[in-house]
Amino acid sequence: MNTLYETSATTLTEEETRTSTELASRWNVLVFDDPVNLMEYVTKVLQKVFAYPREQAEELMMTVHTAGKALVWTGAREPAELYVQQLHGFQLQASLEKTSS
Amino acid sequence: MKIVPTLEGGLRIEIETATDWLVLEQIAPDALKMEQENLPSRLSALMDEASEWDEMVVPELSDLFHEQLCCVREIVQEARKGSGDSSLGHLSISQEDGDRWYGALNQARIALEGYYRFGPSQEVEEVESFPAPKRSAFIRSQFYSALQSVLLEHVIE
Repeated sequence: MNTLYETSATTLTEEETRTSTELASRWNVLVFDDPVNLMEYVTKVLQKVFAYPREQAEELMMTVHTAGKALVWTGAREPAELYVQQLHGFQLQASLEKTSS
Repeated sequence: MKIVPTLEGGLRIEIETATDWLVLEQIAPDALKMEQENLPSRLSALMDEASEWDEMVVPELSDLFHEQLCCVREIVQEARKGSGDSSLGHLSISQEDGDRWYGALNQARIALEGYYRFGPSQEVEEVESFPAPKRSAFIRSQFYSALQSVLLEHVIE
């Protein structure tokens, strides 16, 4: 019994450490190109979700269009997830990636 | 069909033929064409397991997307009912419903693209060589896209 408790406690601690490390890391929010979403729509969504000025949103949209994807925001995991959730709500293809630094 | 912006910031669609009704009635069925591989799940596939997207986000997105389709289906049904047996009629898209219409049309286009794989651009000859169901789906998708552009220009802020 004792051994079992110790093993569970160790696993829990490892998970907690991993989770807190992931939360402390910086995360990129990526938007991917797709053949459906209109360029004007992608621009408007980036303005709505991130409150970017029109010029910045347009520039990011063009990067999505020409390079296939664009890094649209970097920061903590929790807000990054909220941004991706909003982007998915607007039916844009978006995901998260841990920064390399 | 004629699409006219209204003074209230919405759109009025004038229905002129029976085909116009058929196209508008096809938005929701088209959006559900890929039900086995629905949009929230496909978006979720972009996320890692740690995000628990399937449990935390997919149900919410499913409700949102379902609500968009219900809104469009109801407006078209009501307008059709109001026109009686005539193929003429009209329906209104209010400014508040603009986002729902856009979302429903987008779902339809995403599903049609996923099902038929039209690709980013099509030559006329290529479209003419499509089998009939794919060709008519392509034309509907083009119409949905045009209506989305009008919504972006006149309704969605």
